[in-house]
Amino acid sequence: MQTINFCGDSFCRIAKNPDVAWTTLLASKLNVNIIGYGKSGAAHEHAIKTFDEKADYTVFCWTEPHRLYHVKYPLSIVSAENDQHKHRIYGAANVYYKYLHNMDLAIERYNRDLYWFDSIVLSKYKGLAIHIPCFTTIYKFTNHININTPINKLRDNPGKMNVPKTLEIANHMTKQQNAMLADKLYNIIKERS
Amino acid sequence: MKTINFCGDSFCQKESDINNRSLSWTTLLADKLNVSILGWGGPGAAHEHVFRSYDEEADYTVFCWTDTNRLYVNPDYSAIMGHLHHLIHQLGGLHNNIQKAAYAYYKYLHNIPIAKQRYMRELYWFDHAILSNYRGVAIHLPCFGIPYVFTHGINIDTPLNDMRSKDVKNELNNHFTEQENAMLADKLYNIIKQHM
Repeated sequence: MQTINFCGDSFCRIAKNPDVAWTTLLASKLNVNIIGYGKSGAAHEHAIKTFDEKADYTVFCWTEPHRLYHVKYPLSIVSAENDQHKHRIYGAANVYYKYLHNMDLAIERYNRDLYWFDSIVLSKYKGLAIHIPCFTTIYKFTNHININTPINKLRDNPGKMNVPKTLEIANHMTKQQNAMLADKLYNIIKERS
Repeated sequence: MKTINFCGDSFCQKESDINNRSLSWTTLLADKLNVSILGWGGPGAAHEHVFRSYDEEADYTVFCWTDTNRLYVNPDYSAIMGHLHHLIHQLGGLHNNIQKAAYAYYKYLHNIPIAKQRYMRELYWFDHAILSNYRGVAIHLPCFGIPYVFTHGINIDTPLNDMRSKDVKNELNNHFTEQENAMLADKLYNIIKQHM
């Protein structure tokens, strides 16, 4: 049986309601096995590390460039500030963001990482990869399929304001949005297959 | 007049002692090539400093590629794990929030294999996206180990640190003795001439 791998952050993590998640729906439509999911709060390094050249299909959800890679903890500007007193890792991340982090440089370094990944790794990939930006499009890939609309913009209210949490039942999206995304990706894959 | 640019860390820094400046390999090489110096390396600088000080207008560029674990903070400061330890254990502690944050970073967040991988990726990017368009002569000198072999420019196989006798008392600020400075300048001059 063919396989699909989801590499990214919470937008493609294993959902609490897998039956309605776009990841599961897409795999079902393609009749493939899922070999990996994204990780909540993960940095882009996680997407690079979880890439598997053996997968027949790979869907990347490219997160924002300011997250710090850590094996165990999801470190972002927000999580570091909110949880700085809960654990020393978050505390260290909080002072990192406060005194050391350079926003422009983080974007540049993100671009360089993806340039390398695109040129060296994805250029040899024999499967089909789809690149979905999570929040904004920072890097346009030369290899495989770029989706122009960030996944966060598919949501009714990307800022999470005034949207009952209960409606966003899987991967930050409603049931309908999950179904639409799965359909959209399925059609794109079929056009290219 | 043609120009040369030195991009890197202390190995290619401007000699602070003006009496020794004419003895440093950077100055000697520039004199041999009859070129003017556009820029020097920064003491303790991270590799990001190299990217930022690169100038495509220079006729010659000598890169000194430093170690993979330095953290670029701003144009004037890159954090070095060993230096922070030295401050704590020899000089009475960390003196500002940047140093304290950098120490916490190295203690809790820094990932040595990831830093090495990202360094290699960034040099790949610099090699293929930037240096591929460079019309001058580029020489790549590794400072401590060889993290990456460039496609564009001339690679020197021996790390600068391995060229030192480590006769610290007789070193200039660039970590070489007078004799080692002269030898390095000669070596690079001959390599450049061979490639022209």
